[in-house]
Amino acid sequence: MAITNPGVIVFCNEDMRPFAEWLRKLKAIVTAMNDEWNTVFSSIVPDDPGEQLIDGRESEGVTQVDGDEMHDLMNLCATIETALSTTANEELLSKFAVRPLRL
Amino acid sequence: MATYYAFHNAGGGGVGTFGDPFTLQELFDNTDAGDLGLVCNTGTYTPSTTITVDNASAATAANPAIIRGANADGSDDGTIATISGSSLGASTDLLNMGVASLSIRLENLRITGATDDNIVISGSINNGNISLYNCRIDSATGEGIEMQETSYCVVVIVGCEIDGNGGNGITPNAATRYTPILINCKVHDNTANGMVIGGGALLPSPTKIVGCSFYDNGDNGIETISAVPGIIVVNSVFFGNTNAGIEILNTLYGFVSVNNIFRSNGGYGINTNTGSSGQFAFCDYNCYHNNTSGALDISTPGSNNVTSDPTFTSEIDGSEDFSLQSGSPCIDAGFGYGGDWNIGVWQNAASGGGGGGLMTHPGMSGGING
Repeated sequence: MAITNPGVIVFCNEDMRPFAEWLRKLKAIVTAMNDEWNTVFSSIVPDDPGEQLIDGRESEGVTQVDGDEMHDLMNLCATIETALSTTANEELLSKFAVRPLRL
Repeated sequence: MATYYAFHNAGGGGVGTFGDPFTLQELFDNTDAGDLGLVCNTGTYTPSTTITVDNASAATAANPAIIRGANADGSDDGTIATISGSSLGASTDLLNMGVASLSIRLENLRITGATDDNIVISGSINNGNISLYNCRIDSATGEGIEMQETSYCVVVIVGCEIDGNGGNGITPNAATRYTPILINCKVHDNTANGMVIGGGALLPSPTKIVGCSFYDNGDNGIETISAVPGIIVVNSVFFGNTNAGIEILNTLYGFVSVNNIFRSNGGYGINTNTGSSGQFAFCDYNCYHNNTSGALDISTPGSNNVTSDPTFTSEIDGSEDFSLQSGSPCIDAGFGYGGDWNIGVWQNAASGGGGGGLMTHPGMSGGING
C-alpha cells in the first residue's frame, strides 16, 4: 500500500532526508578521526584515569579529561563508524540522501 | 575635491598628504563630501579600537565621501587595502558608521577579523546612503555587516564578498529600517545565514538582490524575519546552504523570485513556512534541483521552471564556479525582455548571440566587472 499521508511525506523530506545526509557526513568525520587516532595517538595516550590532559583550559571552565576518557570516547567513535559502515546502512543512507556528499 | 592619504603606520597629527599622511581614523574624520580618502596599502591597518565613521559632513548620495584602497605609492590603481581587527580588544566592532545624513562609499577594502562585527551601521542616518564597492567583509567573530539604523537609509553593496563571519553575513538588529541593495556579490561560508532581511517594528523598504550567490552558509542563504514587502531576488544562485536557499519566517507580500537557481541546499529551495503561495507577486523561471527537502514546501509556483541539473562549472568546496556549462538547461531558459536570458548569475554565450544572463560575476581579484 502506498504511503500518501501528507504529514509522513513532510516528515520524510524535512527531517529524515536531512538526517540521512548528516549521518553520511558524520561517517566521513568519524572515519577520519579513527584513522588519525589509530595511526598517531592511540599508542601514546595512556588508557589511564590517573593521567590528565594538560591543556590549560580549566580557566575557561572547560572540564579536564583523562586518558581513560579519551580512549572511551574514541571507542564510541569506532562503534559509530562500524554501525554506519555496514553495507546495509550505507545503502539505506544513500536512498534517503538527496545531495552528493561534500566535505 | 580634496584627496587625502593614510598609512598603516602613520604616527597621527599629519595633514593627510602623501608626505604627511593620516592615520586611518584621521582619514575617516577628515574626508568630507566629494573628497577622496586613499587607504594606502603600506601594510595591514590594525586599529586597537573601533574606527568611528561619523564625519562626511554635508555628503549626499550624489556627492559622497569616498574611502578607497590604494597602492602603497599612493596610486589610485585598484589595490586592495586591508583593515584588520587583530589588535582589537574582545567583543569590539571594527567599523562603526553612523551620523545623520551620512553618505559614504567604501571601495577596494578588505575589512576582516573584528572581534565582534566587522561593520556596524548605527544611529539615525536618516536618508543617508552607504555604499560598498569591491570590498571583502570577512572573518568577524560576529556579523559581517550589522544594520542598526533606525531611520531610512539605503545600503548599496556591489561586487563584494561577505564570507566566513561567525554570525550572519548581513543582518539587521531588532529595530531597523534600511533598504539593502545587493548586486553581483558573493555571500558564503558564514556560520549562520548569508543574509537576514527584516527588522522589528520598523520595516525596511523593498530589498533588491541581483546577480548574487549565496552558498555554503551554516543556516539559510537568505532568511526573512518580518513581513517585509516587495523583496526582489533576480538572477542569483543559492547553493549548498545547510538549510533553505530562502527561508521565509513571516508572511511576506509582493515577493519576486525570477531567474534564480536553488541547488543542493540542505532544506527546501524556498521554504515559505506558511503553506501559501499568496505572498509571491511573481515566482517563475527558476531552477530547483537537488534540494534535500524539495523545491518548495508548497506546490512549486510558475510553469517555466527548470528541474534538472543546472550543471555548474565547479561545485568543489573552495573553488566554486557557478557559471553554466555548455548545454545547461538554464541557458536561454530565463525571463527577460527580448529573450535569451539565462537562469543563474553568469553570463554565457546564449544561443543566437543574445544578451544571455544579467552580468558577470564579481570578485576581489577582478573588481566589479569580475
